[in-house]
Amino acid sequence: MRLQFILAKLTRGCLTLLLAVTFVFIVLRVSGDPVAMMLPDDTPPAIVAEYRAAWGLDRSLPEQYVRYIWSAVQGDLGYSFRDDRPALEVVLERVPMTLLLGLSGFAITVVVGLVTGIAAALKRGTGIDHAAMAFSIFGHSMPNFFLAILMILLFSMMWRVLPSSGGATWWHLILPAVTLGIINAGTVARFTRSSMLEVLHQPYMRTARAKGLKLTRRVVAHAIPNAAIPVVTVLGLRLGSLIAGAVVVETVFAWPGIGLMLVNAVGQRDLPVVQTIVLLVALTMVLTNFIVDLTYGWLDPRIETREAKEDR
Amino acid sequence: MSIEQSLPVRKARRLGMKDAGRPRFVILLCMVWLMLVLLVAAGADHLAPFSYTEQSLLNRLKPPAFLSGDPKYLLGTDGLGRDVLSRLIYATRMSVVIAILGSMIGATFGTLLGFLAAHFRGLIEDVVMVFVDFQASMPFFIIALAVLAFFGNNFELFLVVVGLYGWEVYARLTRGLVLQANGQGYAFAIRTLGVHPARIYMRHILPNILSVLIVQLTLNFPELILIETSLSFLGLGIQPPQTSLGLMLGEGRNYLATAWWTGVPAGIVIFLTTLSISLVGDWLRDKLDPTLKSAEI
Repeated sequence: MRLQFILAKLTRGCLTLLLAVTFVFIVLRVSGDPVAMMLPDDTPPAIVAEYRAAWGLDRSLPEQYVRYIWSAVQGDLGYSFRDDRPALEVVLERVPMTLLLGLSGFAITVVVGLVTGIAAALKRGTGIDHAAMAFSIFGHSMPNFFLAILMILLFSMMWRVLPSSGGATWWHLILPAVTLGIINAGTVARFTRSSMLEVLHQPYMRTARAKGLKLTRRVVAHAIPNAAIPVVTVLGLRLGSLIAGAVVVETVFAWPGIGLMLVNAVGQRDLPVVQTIVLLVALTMVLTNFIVDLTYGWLDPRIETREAKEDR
Repeated sequence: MSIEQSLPVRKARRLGMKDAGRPRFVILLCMVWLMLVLLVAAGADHLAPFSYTEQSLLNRLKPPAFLSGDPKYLLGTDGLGRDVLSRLIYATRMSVVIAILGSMIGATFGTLLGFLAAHFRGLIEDVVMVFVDFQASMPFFIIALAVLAFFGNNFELFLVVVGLYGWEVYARLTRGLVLQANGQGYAFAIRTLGVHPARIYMRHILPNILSVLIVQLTLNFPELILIETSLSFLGLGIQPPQTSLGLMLGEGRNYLATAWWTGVPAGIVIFLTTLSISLVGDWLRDKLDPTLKSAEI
């Protein structure tokens, strides 16, 4: 049963990756002739033909498709138009910076979101609850780029306490990470609150109280583990919005990561870099979803059985 | 979920919803703001004191009237001496138009695919659901960026790309609801009368599932505004000389140190609008369908 569950999730992940590669391939082929884009307009037809042959563009579409997938699997995603190095190499150089920003932002989301949500659920109907929900709606409605600009205005321009652009020191990390974290924390807080509220009304919570357990122990040992599943889902789902947010936040704060690189590459139409980043994002999403699915199975073994039944 | 569990859960949700109910005057304020935004969008040509492209290089970066600026320019002028208020009005119109048209595109496309999947089942359903899964697992923003990178930018393409945001949710919702409706007595009764399937779906099933789709629309709408303004903010959406709220804020970024008023008003309009739609949407959801949980996004 366990192996079957993992295999099903794995197949789905591979299918998503295949679709991502196909999507990029189709878009690349439909959007224009790459040779015509690379070479000047007055190139003699013989040289154009030579380039086409060298890149395999003279072959049939299915053959090109298979070759494209094969080279993508090997990590050969073309050369960056801008600096003539393999696109994968150019992109991978930026990964550590994006990971640093993304993980810091994610940590802020988790801590702020969970604490706010749990506090709001425990103090339902009080000022704390209202403040937490106001914060949640704020985070949900606030465009990340506007928050980023307000942060720069306040902390870099008015009070002059934090740097606004670049990634040279740890100080440079604070504003982008907080911006990225706060935006997603609102949604996580809201989910944590409603998930906790459901759990707090369960009979076993009453039993725990009747047993004379202290509040902290009831919450930590009984409520939080049971409220965790929807929250883990939301955290997993937030990854997409974290990646999209990182693109915007990196651009505003000139953080030298993949997001900034993507925006620049789109502006310069550096297609090999764009396709590399799109495929890397797809790979990241698939891996994360896979981990989230496995976490479910671990948090609540009933999910495996339920899904197996539904599939049948 | 067992029956014993579901009662207290429902109770908790009801309690949770009661807390989530915002004071009525806040909802009223939000509605007033949304009306104002719609009026401004509709009457932009009559309301704007200047043309949004009219430059006056002698009057560059004038502060707003309330910061001892020229009273002719209520919100000041930008780096090319264009009136910020007029640009704000036109930018609002652009963003509202894209959000409304875009919502229609995504809702129609997604709902249609949902109907097709539920009607034909089998292979068609599988294919639709594979694409739904794919879209759900890829960040839409990245896909939109890639499409704009590969095809270059023009208004129609941008509108369609932005509009497709969220189609997969409509498709999934519609498929589920139609499958459910098909199993119910009324659909069966009409089918036995020999009515054409298209007519059953349009005249009988669609009205029954419409409230759920409208709820989804209120969730989708503010996110669509955010997608459009984000892309425009990055300079990859609406292109000058056209303007949108995101583009205005993006252009204002270069003047943060000297003239914050060129961009910040656009940011405030975006924030207040998405906030208002979210709050009014929540409220509307509770009105339309009391069994839906308002706490889930």
